[in-house]
Amino acid sequence: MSRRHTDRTDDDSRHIGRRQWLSALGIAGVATLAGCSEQGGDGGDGSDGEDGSDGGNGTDDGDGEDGSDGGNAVDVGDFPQFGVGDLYGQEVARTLARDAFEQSEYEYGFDGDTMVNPDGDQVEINIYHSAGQETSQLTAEFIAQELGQNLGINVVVEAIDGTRFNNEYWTAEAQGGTDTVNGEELEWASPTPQNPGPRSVTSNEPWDMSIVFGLNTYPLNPLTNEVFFDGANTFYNPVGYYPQFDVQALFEDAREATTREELQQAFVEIFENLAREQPYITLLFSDDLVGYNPDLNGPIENFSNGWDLPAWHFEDPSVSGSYDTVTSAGFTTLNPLYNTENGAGDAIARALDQGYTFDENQEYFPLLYDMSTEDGEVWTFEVRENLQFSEPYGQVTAEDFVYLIQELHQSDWANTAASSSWDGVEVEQTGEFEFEATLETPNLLWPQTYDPLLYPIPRDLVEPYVEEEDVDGLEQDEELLELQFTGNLGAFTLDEWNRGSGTEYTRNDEYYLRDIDEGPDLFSEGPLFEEASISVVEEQASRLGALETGEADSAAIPPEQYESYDEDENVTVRQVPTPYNTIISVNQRENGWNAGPGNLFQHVPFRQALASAISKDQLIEGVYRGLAEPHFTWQPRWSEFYPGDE
Amino acid sequence: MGFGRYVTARVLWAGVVSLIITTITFLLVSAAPNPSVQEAATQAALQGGDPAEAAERARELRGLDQPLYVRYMDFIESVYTFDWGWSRSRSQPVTEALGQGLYYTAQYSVPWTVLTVLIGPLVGVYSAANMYSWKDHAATGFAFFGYAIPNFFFGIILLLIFGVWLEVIPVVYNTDVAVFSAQNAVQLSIPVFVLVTGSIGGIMRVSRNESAEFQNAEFMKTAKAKGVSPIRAYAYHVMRPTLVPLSTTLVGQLLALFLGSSLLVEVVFGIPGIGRVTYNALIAQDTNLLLGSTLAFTFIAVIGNLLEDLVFTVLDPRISYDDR
Repeated sequence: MSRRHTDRTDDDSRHIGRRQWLSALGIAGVATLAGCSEQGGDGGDGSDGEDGSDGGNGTDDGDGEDGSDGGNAVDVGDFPQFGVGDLYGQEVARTLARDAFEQSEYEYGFDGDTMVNPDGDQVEINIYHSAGQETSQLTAEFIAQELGQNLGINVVVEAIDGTRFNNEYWTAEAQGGTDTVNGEELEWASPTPQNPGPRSVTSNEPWDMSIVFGLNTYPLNPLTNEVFFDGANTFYNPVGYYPQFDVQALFEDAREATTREELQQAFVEIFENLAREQPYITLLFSDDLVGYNPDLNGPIENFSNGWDLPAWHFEDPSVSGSYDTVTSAGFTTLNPLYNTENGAGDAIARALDQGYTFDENQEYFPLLYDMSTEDGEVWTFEVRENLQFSEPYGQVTAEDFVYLIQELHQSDWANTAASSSWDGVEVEQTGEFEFEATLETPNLLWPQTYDPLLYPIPRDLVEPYVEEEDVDGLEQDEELLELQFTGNLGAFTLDEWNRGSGTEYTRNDEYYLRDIDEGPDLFSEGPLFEEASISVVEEQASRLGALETGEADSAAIPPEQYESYDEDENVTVRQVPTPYNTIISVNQRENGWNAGPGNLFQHVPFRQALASAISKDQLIEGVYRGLAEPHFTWQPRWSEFYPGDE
Repeated sequence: MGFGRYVTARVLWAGVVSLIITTITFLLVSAAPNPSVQEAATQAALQGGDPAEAAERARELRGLDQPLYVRYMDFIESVYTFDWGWSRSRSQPVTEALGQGLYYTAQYSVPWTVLTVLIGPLVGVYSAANMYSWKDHAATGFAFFGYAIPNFFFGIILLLIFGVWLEVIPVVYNTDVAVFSAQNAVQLSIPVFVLVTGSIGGIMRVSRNESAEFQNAEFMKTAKAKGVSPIRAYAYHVMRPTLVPLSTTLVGQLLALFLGSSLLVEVVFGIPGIGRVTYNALIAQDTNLLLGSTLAFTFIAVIGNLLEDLVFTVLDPRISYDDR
């Protein structure tokens, strides 16, 4: 920790750019002119239908798909990567901006280097970032500098508290309404606070741009991205984005796909279009930084880091030592039926496996059961035959799972954490170790939704509560809370759960995973630690201290302390990719764009201009110390559904 | 009025006070909306059921459809029989949660209180005896330093020095070690040190000023004239009257510290004590646990005040309980 203090001067030198960015900012109030006009469908419905695009080198006449930017002097291609290479810089940004000016019914233009509104004044917009978060502030200042240099826009950087931003700017009272989108009448039949209605329905406070919130891109199950993009009236659309391609048809294709290829085709096309339309200006994916004991073998810089914990070990692969981790908050419950927290999920996972997981290639890996399907509608679950609960509950069979689903998850009284996952799913036992689930609508990516992920719970344990419909009894059952039924179903056995200080485990010699054929060879001896523990340490400085002294084998590292830990020989830092993105949300609703009449954010070329005015590489190097990946479409590069860019 | 009757009266009064506080608590809780009823209604609405009916059913299940006085009697009964309900944020009975918290808090607060009560007045009297000498300034400086530096910050610094650099104390508090073991004494030494330095400042100053008043009093002159040794003179003739006004502040101050500053120290050192139990209950909106800890602190405060009143009469024979 001493290094952190003495290295301060180094830290500052990395922020040299900061003063530069600050100087690019003028201090001025924000003009809050209303008078945005609603832009009708600007020709073309976008999609040119299925053309079997394989996402290869897109040098074809991709412009046809844009509809809106026919006279475009910039060929952005099938899968444009704004903000890098040819698609970064003043020239390309200004060319795209001029396209947008042509589309706008108001006279915006460039006066020398500055972008001016119809009154001839410089365009001035504001950007909000999270108050008190250095990275967020630096990102906003960098954006302001880039937009100032490359587009001549005066961007005012403002800090805001996340909760306040959510309540007053991001969400609004759901009102609903109708509007014309791509020439068709569209109704907001079930508005939400995150999509309260058409662009005319706005939040209380006007705002232009924000980097306060990042969103999940759901790389394992991209279908979930429906909530953001399935039409202008979808569930979550605070910025008022109107897709100009037929996104609903493409999502329909993805939903109905019966082969992996069809699925991929539909998704790739969706993500190419999103890369082009930039509903949110995509910037980057930042990595999670995790510090590990350098003697520990196993952690990988992968989304599935930790999936093969039973094969992790210290130095040589033999059973030794204790795997100790720290967490910032205590656990509400360890009852597998009612837990909804990630931290408690980890604590349960040490002692109790779930149905399956995903390996380092993000592929399905069967733990308790294997799942298979022909068409995505009927799924067969094959339960392993070497699974044992603790006495007196005996062997785990298909009956336990079916009972659990039908009598608890699908009941109207138990309110288990998984109850929403099993709505409308028909479950039937088809053998001692086999059962089938029939979905209402087929879904090839059902396992990736985590919906069919089950904990094994003994039927005999829960049956008395089911008969009485006793929720409190079920929630407070000691065997469930203290995980006393786990038999050979987990790598470790829970010894003690001290509510204030955490959990302690000892190695489970009988672990079923030792006898399976799949997976790494070391599974046959796993787990390779004598003991394990998770300690609750609320203070970050104390967690990091524990990591340095070796009392903890793993702890999260705050990004601003990356260098000092990276140089520390007592700690190995891993960069674990995440599906959460950093984006500029541009307000396409009527209370967005407070720089003059009209709302330029509503025009695709203008959003493209913004995206190509910001250098993703410089942002990642300058602000994120290289600990991030550039973000071009609504998937990270390692996703199976990422459009090809080679 | 004899001593016995005085004590009886004070104890009865303490009982009345606790009943009044419990009653006010009950009225506040029953006036507030019940989260589990709202939860049931929301759940029903989400699943297409009738929210009003679900709320009614939840109310019935929890006995909330009973008249107020019946619920009041039930509440009072469960409070005084220690049936304080289930803590949702910790998945254990409230009494167990509080018991666990107190178990860990007591381990550092007992030494803390004892040391504070011993060292504070001692340093104060020492300062007064050497008033305006370098010894006085050193003692005052020490007391003010501890008083001025925020406990959590001081704690982090000491943890950094002794835990991370010198590695003489563990960074992660270990709940496995026996209460009376060297290991436990070592891991609690720094938190106790931080708390003691934080709390003796005020006490030291009050006792310094109080004893300054007494050291030139008539009875001190008499004692000195009779040849009483300086130690006995200070310990017996100055310390005792000094402690009387001090004892009023002591109890109140320590109770406040119990909840307030101990929370921050518990967070820094990872001690799962009562401060963190209460704070997390507040954050998690765990009504039962919050109510339980409020009641626990109420009872502690009532008993503390009772003890204070009794200690008065022992410390200073001039205060009689006859006219109370």
